[in-house]
Formats: sequence, C-alpha cells, structure tokens
Amino acid sequence: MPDIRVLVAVRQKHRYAKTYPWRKLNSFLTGIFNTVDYFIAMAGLVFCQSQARSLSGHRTLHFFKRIVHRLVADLESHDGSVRSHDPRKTLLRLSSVGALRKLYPYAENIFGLKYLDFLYLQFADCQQGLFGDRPIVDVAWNQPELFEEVCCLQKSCVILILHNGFAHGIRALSYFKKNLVAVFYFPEYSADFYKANKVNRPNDIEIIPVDREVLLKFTKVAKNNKAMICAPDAGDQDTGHYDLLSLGMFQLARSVNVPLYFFDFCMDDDCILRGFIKGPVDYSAGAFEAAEDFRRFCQSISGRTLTIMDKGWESRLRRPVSDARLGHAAASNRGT
Amino acid sequence: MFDVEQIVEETLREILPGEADKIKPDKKLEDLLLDSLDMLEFKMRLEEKLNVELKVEVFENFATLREITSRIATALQRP
Repeated sequence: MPDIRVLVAVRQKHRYAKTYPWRKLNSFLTGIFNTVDYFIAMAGLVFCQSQARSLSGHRTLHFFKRIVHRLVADLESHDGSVRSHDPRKTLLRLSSVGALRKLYPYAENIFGLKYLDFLYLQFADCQQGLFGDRPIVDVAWNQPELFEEVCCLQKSCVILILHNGFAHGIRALSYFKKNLVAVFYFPEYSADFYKANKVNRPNDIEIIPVDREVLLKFTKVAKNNKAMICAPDAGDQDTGHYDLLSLGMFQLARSVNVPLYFFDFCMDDDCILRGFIKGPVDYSAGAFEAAEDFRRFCQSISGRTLTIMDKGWESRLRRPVSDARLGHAAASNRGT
Repeated sequence: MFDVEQIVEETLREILPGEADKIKPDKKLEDLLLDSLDMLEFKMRLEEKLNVELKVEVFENFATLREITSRIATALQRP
C-alpha cells in the first residue's frame, strides 16, 4: 500500500492545489478515501478473526493513522493557521470524524488511552511526521497553586507521570527554575524528545538511564535539591501494553524520605488538556500502598489500568509478588 | 568488630533467598538476579546493619562481593 504521505503530497503539490475548486474536490476525495479506509479496516476485522488480536489491532491502527494523516494534511492545506496556532481546533475537528470514533475501540492502544487522548497522540505523531512539528497543547492544571508549590520546593522530590503524559509534565516543569532529573530508557533519544516536545533548557535536565543501578543513583541525586521525574509504568513483554507499574520509585521516595507527587493528564470533551496533581503523598504505609494510590489516581484521571509488579521496571517482566517485600497488603492483592 | 563480609553475604541472602547457593565472595552482582529495587534494598539494609551511609560508588562497576566488602571496610575506617 502506498505511503499516505506520498499520496497526500501528490494531491497537494500540483499547480492547482491551492485553487478553490480543487480544494473542494480534495475534501470530497478525502471523505471517499476515509470511507474506503474505514471499510477496509472493518472488513479486515471481520475476516481476520482467526488471526491474533494484536495483529488486527495493529492493522486497524494503521488505517486509523491513515485517516488522521489525510485529515490533518487537508486542514493544513485549507487553513494553514490551524496547525501552527491552534492544535485544539484541529483536534476538535478530528474528534468529530465518525470513522475514527468507530475504529478507535479496535485499534491497538498500548497505553489504554481514552478516545481523545489516543486521538491527540496519533494527531501529534502524524503532524510531526508530516510537517516536522509536534502540536503542543498547554496544560490547564486542576490545582495551579500546588503545581507552583512543587516547582518552588526547596528540597528534592519525586514526581511520577505515566508515559503518555510524560512530555506534558516535563515541559511544564522545565519552565520553572527547579532542577530536573529524568529517567530514560533510551537516553540517546532524549535530545530529540525534548526538541519535539519543546522542553525548555533541555541541556539542564540531568538524565539517568534505566538500569539496575538507577535507584541507587537516585539516592545520590536526592541530596541535590532536584525534582526526580519518572514514568513508573512499563511495557509487558508478552502483550506490548504499558499496563505494568513498577514499585521502584515509590520505594525510593520512601527510602530517601522526599515528597512524592503524582501527575496525570487527560483531554476533556472540549479538547483542553487537563493536568491533575496529587501530593505530597503519604507513603508511610509502604511502597505498595503508595503504588496502589497512584494506580487509583491514574485510573480516575486518564482511565489507565495498571498492575503493580514486584520488580524494578528495567526488567519489564512480571514476577510473582513476594510477601516479604510487600507485606500483607501485597499478599491480599496477589494476582490482581 | 563485626565481619563485614558475612554481613554483606547475609544481607544478599535475605534479599535473594532463591539464590543463596550462588552467593560467593567472587560472584559479581551482575551475575545475580538483582534488579534496581533489590539493589536499593541491598544498600538500605547494609546501611541499617552497619550504621553507616554508603556511597553509590560502592556498588557500581559490576563489583564482586569481595570488592564491595573491601569498599565498605574502607568506608567504615574513615572518620
């Protein structure tokens, strides 16, 4: 199948591309192509029942992305200001497309995001791919004063944000003077990540790679009045879904006795990105209880379902929960 | 005076009860099934037992248990 970007470019770069009749025809063609993509995806779901679910989900995601690509390119050609100035407007337009809404439940969704959050992620990836510019949306905090309090803390703290909200969180924090330390699975991509997400002062953010010494390194960092930011969710090697939650940072916050904050984000119905903060969290009952608190917090905001794993998140593997480490609470939660 | 080597090995055995047979002075930490959480616990428990704050460097560079013991002994001797 031809690359959607090539097809979009062909339709938009010829000599009549900017003329009114072509733009009308282009919109009409977009509708037809979107419908065709939708039916191919749905037919695939019907006829590929025997195939693995992940495969059909991957295939549906492919068609979902094609439709988003086409629509974003169309919006760009019709109204150049939409992309550069108001990603929310584009997102609102995309959210009203029936084909996308219908494909969403079948598309591969590794973070288990709600519709608008999932759409934003696809839209952002697509716009970055098409125009090299990731759409940035400002965060509307539920407790702005608490956010400022975190940014102005005179001591170290641990801030936990799920992978899907990591960029929003670190960007918002980067505009304050607080020194930051972030954990990265792949530190070599951190510069691109910061650039794409318009993170302020990227060179000032210390990076700690994920390995078995990561928590030990944090015990050292904790003495330097820095905000330690980390995404404690991890991908399951079997399913590829990010539905595991590592205990590491909860245990660390407890061990070094620094305030622990939870951040989570979600798009509301008006496509405004809402940021929620909880903290400082009481972890005196144990790391597992704090992780449970985080799990519930995320479920109530971004709707993500996480399973706590008794393992450093560099392992990304499930392991039975040991009573010795987690105590009675873990024993009663075994297998959940 | 307590035996640092014994305390190091004991602590590791507590953290990795299933690996007790493999815990030997020449064994490297990387060869044991320790994850980041275990490493943190290892450090915290040692600090508690020895009543001393240990630097992260003590555990770095894939040290063997003997090397760790020696680094801890050096740390204990410092005023």
